[in-house]
Amino acid sequence: MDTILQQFFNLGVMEQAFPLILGGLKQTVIICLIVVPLGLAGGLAFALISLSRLRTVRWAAIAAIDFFRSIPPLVLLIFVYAGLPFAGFRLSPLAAVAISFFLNTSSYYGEIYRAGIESVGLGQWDAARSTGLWSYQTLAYVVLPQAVRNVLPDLVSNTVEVVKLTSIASVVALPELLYSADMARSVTFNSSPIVLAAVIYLAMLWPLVRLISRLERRIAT
Amino acid sequence: VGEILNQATSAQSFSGNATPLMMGALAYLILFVPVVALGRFLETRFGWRRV
Repeated sequence: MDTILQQFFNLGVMEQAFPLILGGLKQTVIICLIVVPLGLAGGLAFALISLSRLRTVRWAAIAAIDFFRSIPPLVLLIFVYAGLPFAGFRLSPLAAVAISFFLNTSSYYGEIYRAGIESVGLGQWDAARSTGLWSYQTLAYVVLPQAVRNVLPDLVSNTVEVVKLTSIASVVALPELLYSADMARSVTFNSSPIVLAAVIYLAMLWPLVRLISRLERRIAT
Repeated sequence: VGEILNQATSAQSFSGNATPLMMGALAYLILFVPVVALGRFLETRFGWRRV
């Protein structure tokens, strides 16, 4: 029991590692602040293009979405970070993370938006158009608000996924939460920093997960 | 663990060439594109008609 406390819940080691881990948390937050808004915007673009009336445009968007959903985000990240320099594009770790996670998450967000838009009845389009709104006004003022409301739990759920995904950025030596914790672990020969990082992830994400359940219940009634 | 990505990145660092990485990415695509396509098929097959 004592060994477990010493190895995993050593408060002294946690205190020592805390500044490093706090720096990591800052990086994680920065990555999230870049990737989540980009993903939300890119996802909306993906969804709208994949609902286009032109068949070739629609198929191209669906092919792109399927491509980025099929390729594991870690493979995409390593490809962007370690593969593109061979083609002459040398990117900083943060840029590589931003690009690869943007492509990955916006395809998932895109599918969620598409489900939302398809959940709004076609009659809503007809009704809005008959009141004299342009089609883009119909989309912005009538369809999208209802669509987003219907899929809000899924959007939040995917955002939780994105926050967890950022731990992958540690493989390109971006000093985010997991990377800093692992560095502290290797310096102190003690697993407590990892436990601390896990607690921080939990503290960040558990409220969001609770929020998802609440949103689900609100929509269900 | 010696899965596709690990093999691909070590082959890349041995050869100093990005081709193994491309092959690794292709292997993942071959693995997962059918699954994603199946997902789309199921969605259209069992989806409700839009009204």
